[in-house]
Amino acid sequence: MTAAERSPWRRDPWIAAAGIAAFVSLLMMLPVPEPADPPGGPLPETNFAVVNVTVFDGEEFRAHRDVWVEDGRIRAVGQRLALPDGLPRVDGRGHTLLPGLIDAHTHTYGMVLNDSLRFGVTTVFDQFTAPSLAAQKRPARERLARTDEADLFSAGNVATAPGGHGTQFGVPVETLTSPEEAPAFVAARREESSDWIKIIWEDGSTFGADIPTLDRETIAAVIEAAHAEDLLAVMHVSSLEHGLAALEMGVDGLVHVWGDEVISEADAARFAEAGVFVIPTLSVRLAAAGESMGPELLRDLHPEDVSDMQRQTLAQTFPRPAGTSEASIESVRRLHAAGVRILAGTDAPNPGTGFGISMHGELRLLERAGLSVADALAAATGAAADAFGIEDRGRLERGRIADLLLVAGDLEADLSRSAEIAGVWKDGFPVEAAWAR
Amino acid sequence: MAANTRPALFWHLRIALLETRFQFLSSLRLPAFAIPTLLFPVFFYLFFAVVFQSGGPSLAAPTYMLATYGVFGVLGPSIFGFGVGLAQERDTGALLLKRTTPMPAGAFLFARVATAAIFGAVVIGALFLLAGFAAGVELHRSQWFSLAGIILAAVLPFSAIGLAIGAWAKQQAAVAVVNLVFIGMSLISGLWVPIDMLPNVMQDIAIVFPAFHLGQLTLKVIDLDLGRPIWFHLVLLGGQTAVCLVAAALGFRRFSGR
Ligand SMILES: [Zn+2]
Repeated sequence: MTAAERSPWRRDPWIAAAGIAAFVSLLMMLPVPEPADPPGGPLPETNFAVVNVTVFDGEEFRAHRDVWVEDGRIRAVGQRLALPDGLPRVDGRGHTLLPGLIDAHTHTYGMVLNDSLRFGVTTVFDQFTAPSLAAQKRPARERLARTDEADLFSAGNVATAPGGHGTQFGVPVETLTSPEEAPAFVAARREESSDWIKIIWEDGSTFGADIPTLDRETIAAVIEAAHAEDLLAVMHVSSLEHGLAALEMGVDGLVHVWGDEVISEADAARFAEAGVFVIPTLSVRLAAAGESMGPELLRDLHPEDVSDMQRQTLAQTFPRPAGTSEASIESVRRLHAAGVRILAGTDAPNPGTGFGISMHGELRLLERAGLSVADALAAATGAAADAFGIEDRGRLERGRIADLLLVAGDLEADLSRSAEIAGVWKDGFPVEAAWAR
Repeated sequence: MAANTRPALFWHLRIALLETRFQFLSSLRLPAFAIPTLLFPVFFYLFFAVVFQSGGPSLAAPTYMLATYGVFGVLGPSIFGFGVGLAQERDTGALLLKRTTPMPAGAFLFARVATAAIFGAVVIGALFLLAGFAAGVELHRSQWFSLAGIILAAVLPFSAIGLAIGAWAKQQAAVAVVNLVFIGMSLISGLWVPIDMLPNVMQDIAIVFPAFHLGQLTLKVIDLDLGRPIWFHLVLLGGQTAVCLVAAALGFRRFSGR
């Protein structure tokens, strides 16, 4: 070996090359995450994670999160979770994951809870149905099991006058006529396990009818009795005048916005101050005003998933128009601006609405009424759960039930993508629907 | 000799490599340089990201710190090598001596940058090993390579800062200035503590520092950045580097008496 060959002059290039090779090999042997399957194939159940997904947690959007589900409940939501080896992972890139939707105003019968779930509505707040049906569905919401139905919370039997609104549907209704009957009426609802008390104040004047209704003293007495039993009291009203009177009586929430007048900013502020929530049910308000979302929804959303019943109710129209869309939408705009808690509800299956599917229309209508995308989604998730005091769902948060809606695309940029469903989980189990095939 | 027929580039590279060997070995023999620049980032990471975070529910913190301590790891060798080393050589006359040799100025700069990059690569290697095999950090292969690439590329803008300091400050002052920049810029830029945990005022100030932009660019690879667009960081980083280079050129012109 010559001196020149031993010299740094010759060795340096080799040392440099060896160093670079060593550095690259080190990078090649560092650990990589376990593979995640893109949604589209069969979805995992009970124990799994959706990784690297934009979440809407029930209140706001957060990018690049992992959501870890364990035994049907949310175990953790966070950035770069330390997930166990072998846990099935869904690749959430390009998708938005949110809590299963809550429709805060429906009337349940038949197979409708099935229709709801297929469209990502995992819980419905029923505002009047047969108490026997509510009792029959109640156990499902307390256990985590594979199901094809949304969970049901219900007011059960409504408080209305004999022959009043609510008695015309063929469901037997226990009515009342005087303030003295209020405590016994509420106690009977508690006995039937009503989750809250719904009161109907409807004289038919806004649509040219004359319907018997409860008097103000009786309504006030029912609210008082409900509060004495620690139950929320919510109310059906059709006019701004009745809405403001209900506020004075101490109601907790309204299950419709009126359609006759735009509320003043000062009155909207009174609603905010009292902490009263409003479920505007713009879907049904617009249908009543002759501007149903039904045709638009039938055209846009998954025809293969729409049941005959959904198709039928979406296509129906009201016999007599009532109110204007402007009065309802502008009132919601002012209520929201004043800080009133707005919840999403459809009043399905009234004419122009369909179970489940109409929640996607209601979200669009809330956006039209000035709610941000996050506020509209909160109205259908976190805010709804909060308003009704329900703590086991409505948010992506440790310990809550894994009711999840996975949407393809960036929901924050385009709320109308809410029906681009890539997956629905109820109690941690994937839901079967045509969009999954 | 056959070698004489080789192109000029070949000889420039050879000279540059030789000068790098000299720089690297002499830096290694300088404990005041080698120990803090090699050991600080690695021990900080071991302590804050591995020991402190062990068994936690999320790997966000060890992953964040992998990116930022990596940037911190190349900041040291870059600004110490240029800042202190250059001031020293200039003040002792060693720089004048080198100017009399036929060595191209390019080789001299290459050697300094390459030395910083070698130290940087050693720090990155140690950090990545700790992250991957002790802290449990898992990244896609492309993310490991992107992180390493951006962190190594950080040697260039950081060397420009060192060059500017070395060109203007006297040897004793250079040590103080370099330490001040080293610690102050690292802290305010979110290299030690996640920047969204710092007061808003400091987050606003951080925008003037190259270390902030490099930190954000590395954090973007692992989806933990503050969400500003890439071009925002590249434009500001480019501008800041240009300012440092102009400052350095003015400093050397003054020193050369021209
Ligand atoms: Zn209703």
